[in-house]
Amino acid sequence: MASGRTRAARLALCGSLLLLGALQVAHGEDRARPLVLWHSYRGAEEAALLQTLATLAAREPSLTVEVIAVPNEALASKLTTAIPRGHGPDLFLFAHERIGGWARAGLLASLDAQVDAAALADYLPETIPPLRFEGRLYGLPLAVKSAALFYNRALVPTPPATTDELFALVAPLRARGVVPLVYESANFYFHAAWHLGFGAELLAPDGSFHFESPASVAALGFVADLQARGVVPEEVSGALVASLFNDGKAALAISGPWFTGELARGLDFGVAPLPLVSATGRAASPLLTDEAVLIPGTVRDLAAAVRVARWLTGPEAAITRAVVGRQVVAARAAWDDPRVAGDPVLAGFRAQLATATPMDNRPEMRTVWEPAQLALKKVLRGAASPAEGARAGARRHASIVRPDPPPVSPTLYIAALAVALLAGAGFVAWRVVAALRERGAWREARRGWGWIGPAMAATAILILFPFVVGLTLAFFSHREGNWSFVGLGNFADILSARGYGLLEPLSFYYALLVTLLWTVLNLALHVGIGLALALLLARPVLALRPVYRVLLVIPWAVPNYITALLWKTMFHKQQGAINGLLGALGFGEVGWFSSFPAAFFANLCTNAWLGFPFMMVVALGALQSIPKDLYEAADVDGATAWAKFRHITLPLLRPAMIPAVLLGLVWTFNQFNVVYLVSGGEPDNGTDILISEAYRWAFARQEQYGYAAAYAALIFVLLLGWSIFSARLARRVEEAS
Amino acid sequence: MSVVALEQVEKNFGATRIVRGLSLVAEAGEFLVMVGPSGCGKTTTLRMIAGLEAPTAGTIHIGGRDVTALPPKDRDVAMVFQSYALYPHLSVFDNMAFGLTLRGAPKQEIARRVSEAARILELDALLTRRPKELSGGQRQRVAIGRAIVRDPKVFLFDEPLSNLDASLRGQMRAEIAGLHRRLGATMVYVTHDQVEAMMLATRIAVLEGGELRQVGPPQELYHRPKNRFVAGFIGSPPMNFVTGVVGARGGAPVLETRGAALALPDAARALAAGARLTVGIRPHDVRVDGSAIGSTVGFGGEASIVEPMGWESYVHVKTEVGTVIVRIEGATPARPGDRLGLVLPPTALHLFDDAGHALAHPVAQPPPVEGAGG
Repeated sequence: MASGRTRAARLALCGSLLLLGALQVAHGEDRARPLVLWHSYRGAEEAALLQTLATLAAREPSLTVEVIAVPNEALASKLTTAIPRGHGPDLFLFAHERIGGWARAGLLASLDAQVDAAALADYLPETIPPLRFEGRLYGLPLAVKSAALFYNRALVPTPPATTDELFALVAPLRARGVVPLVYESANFYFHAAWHLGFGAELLAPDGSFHFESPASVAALGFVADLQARGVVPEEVSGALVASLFNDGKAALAISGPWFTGELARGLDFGVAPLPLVSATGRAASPLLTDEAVLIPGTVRDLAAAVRVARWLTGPEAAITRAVVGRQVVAARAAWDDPRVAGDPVLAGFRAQLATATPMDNRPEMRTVWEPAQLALKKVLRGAASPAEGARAGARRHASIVRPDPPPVSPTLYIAALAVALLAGAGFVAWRVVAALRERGAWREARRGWGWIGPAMAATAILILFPFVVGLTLAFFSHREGNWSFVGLGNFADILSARGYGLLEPLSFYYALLVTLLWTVLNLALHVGIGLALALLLARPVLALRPVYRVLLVIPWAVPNYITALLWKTMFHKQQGAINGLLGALGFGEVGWFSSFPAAFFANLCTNAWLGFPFMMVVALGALQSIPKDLYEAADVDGATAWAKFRHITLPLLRPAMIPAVLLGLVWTFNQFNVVYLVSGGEPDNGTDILISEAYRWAFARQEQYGYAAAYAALIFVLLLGWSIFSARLARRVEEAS
Repeated sequence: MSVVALEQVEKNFGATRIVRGLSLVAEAGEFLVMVGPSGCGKTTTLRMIAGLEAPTAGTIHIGGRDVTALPPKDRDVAMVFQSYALYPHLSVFDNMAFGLTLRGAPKQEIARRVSEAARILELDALLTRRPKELSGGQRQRVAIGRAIVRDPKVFLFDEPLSNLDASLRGQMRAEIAGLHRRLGATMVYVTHDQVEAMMLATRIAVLEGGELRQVGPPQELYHRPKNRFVAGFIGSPPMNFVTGVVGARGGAPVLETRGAALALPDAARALAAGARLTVGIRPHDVRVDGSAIGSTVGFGGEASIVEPMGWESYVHVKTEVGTVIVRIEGATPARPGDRLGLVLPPTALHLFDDAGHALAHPVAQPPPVEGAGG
């Protein structure tokens, strides 16, 4: 019987391994037949794409295309990892901005041999240069996207042609309670239009970004002026742009083609190019994104892929994409179609094309966003003059692009790892041999392994393997798909705070201090509020207790990111409920995300709201298990209410509360959602905790995965130390009570 | 040493009347035991004395002071709980010192009184232990010690021995009795165990359904129960009862029941023929004697249950007048199924009227022993 069980367990294990293997094979198997296309289009754009592909399938049955939709946020990293391993698509749709990095990493097929100059003449001329990198062509253009000026015809019959005209709109519009212009002013994507309009450049030829150039500083000064003179409101989010413009509370909006999908039906609006910058006489120049069909270098049938790409970017497909998908298409011939040419919105964006500036497709471009936005936000919230803001941006930029740690030879590390593995294996073998010396132990052990095998396999695959991979990454540096072994370099960089001051945002120590403050204050609030409510709820005289109990557990039951987003909205400077309440009470507006204390407080409120129910439930359970007799004995002994709380309630709650606090500490320490969603690290990453810093290094700062993994490893070490300490503490408490 | 006096105390929980018009006095230095079946209101009464429950009506005086509205801490009483209610996170010393500490007694004074109490209760070696490291009997001693150190006017005990096993219970009973002699304090003690009540009490108050049935010295309650309830409640095994109507055989009064006739004492002559009457006889007053079978004092029957107690046995015998429990001395007096002849001497009978009130008690009884405290 026992051996039968063992066999069954072994079979199950083999079966699951086989299944895994089969999946692996299926994944890597020859997919020559249909061409695989990855994209991240949604809604009308996806519908248009599928429609054009259906037409193609009917037209050319030999060219079948399998379409896989990948979420936009995941597409780039999926491509970066899948293509080198041969798991990538045969062609994919992506904005041109990553071409430089991918081309440099050899992930893209050059199309120069496949597409001649005559073919390129089929496209609007502005759409071709962005697809070149170091002289070679890497894609065919589908459509362009840039910001342009939306105007509400009822409020502004003709859009302002210059920024002076824009300023002139303030008085008449404000008099009617209308905001002249809304756009996400703290977003560098939109700010780039002014930046370029003031004559600043995006990236210098050597790939550097000149934050402190006079033109760049002037552009910062200009947006500060826009805000100060009432042209634009403060703290504008994308949702606010749509709601103000839709409600007729804003006359102008700067946004892209996607904005039309958010506009109310029947709103009479037009799209025009952005105004000239009066100070320079140059047009404000929004960033141009060239959406293209790109082909991985690993493609098996390049000619077939190019044929599909030519079809997708060709005039027939382009007309469908323009009409159905509302795209500003790159195919020149499509604009001869009256349905495309006659569309005022498309025409408006086409007109903007003349003065738009293609996003630089070099990888260096991606280092610019965070520092540029840091500078912008600093200036917009009045925390810095334009020059100071620019300086802060430059400094942040230097931190992010600091050179990687030098590559080191892995020999020593491999040797150390080998020694450690040998020692580990030796220790295990020694234990096993010692354990098996007993009579019958072998049979016992075999049976035991049969039982725990599946769980161990699952643990190894789901926990141990990712953990080891993560830990390994910490010893590498990652740039644009290239990994180099740097040994302990990442750790050394983090612990020496290389690239930034020891106690300024981005420093490990700063983030650690913030994290500790965050954890301690949160726990104090969770326990304090939870305990107080539990004491109230435990009073048998309280009517409707079950109702309160349910209500108070709700914050816990709602998914925490929803709660976090709600609180974020409530803390909005102009539209938020909290400032509304403060205003009603006669207080001024608080910029909740413009200073560390306020932003930290906002995070704290949100997390306190999320965290107290757990402590309340634990405390309530523990309170109800305290025998009533003890309170009566204390009554007879002469105890006051406070003495009973201090000498009976508190000490008897302790055994239940301490494990809850130890757990809560780990949860709070790693409470990513609240920090990321509420303050988002504002101001200037000042409120980021360790875990959200690690996230930013991995996903917002050039995919410095190795550095982020080292961060995660340090967090792990901290929490491991804490767990060991807290386990001892818990044991001591248990023994004491 | 203080008098505890309850006057017309009532306690209702909602519509349920737990205690009804109870007037009861525990004299200074007295060991008053309240006894009764579950739900009779004895614990509620004790808790009202302690101040843990407020009476719905009536007044409570302790030491001449009206404490009806005072909180427990201002009544100067100490209470020993059924569950001991020791503070689990405090040592034995701290448990005993708790009340004094709260009252701000000087440290040396606390140490002196705790060690004094610990010495009396033989807890000296256990002072640093925590309650969970103690046996049941030790915990009970700590609970008592906690009461002693306070030196209160009144000690209240709420079924303090019911969580102990039988042998320990006997030992603790003796210790509590000794404590009462030693301290001479007023003690009010609640139990459902009438044996405990008999052994400890100066006086016993028997409660039933929230009302006082009788209060008096244990011997008085035993020998001269005022009513059928007390007669049946006090004494183990309980008194045998036979119910019937008054009749006469040859001029002598008898109880007619189930077609049989049981001779009644002379005191029954005054009773009207045909009146409903209950007679009671304690098991040790029944004699095993087959010679009188067929008369109005002798009845034959079959032993149904035999409860051997070692040097004596209680035998349940099914007779014409009902099942009678008889105490028989000796090693193996009977087996179930044996036929026995019983004699129920008229002089040993208690008489109760239809309402349960006592009409007469055996004449040849020993005089009540006062102050049987242990």
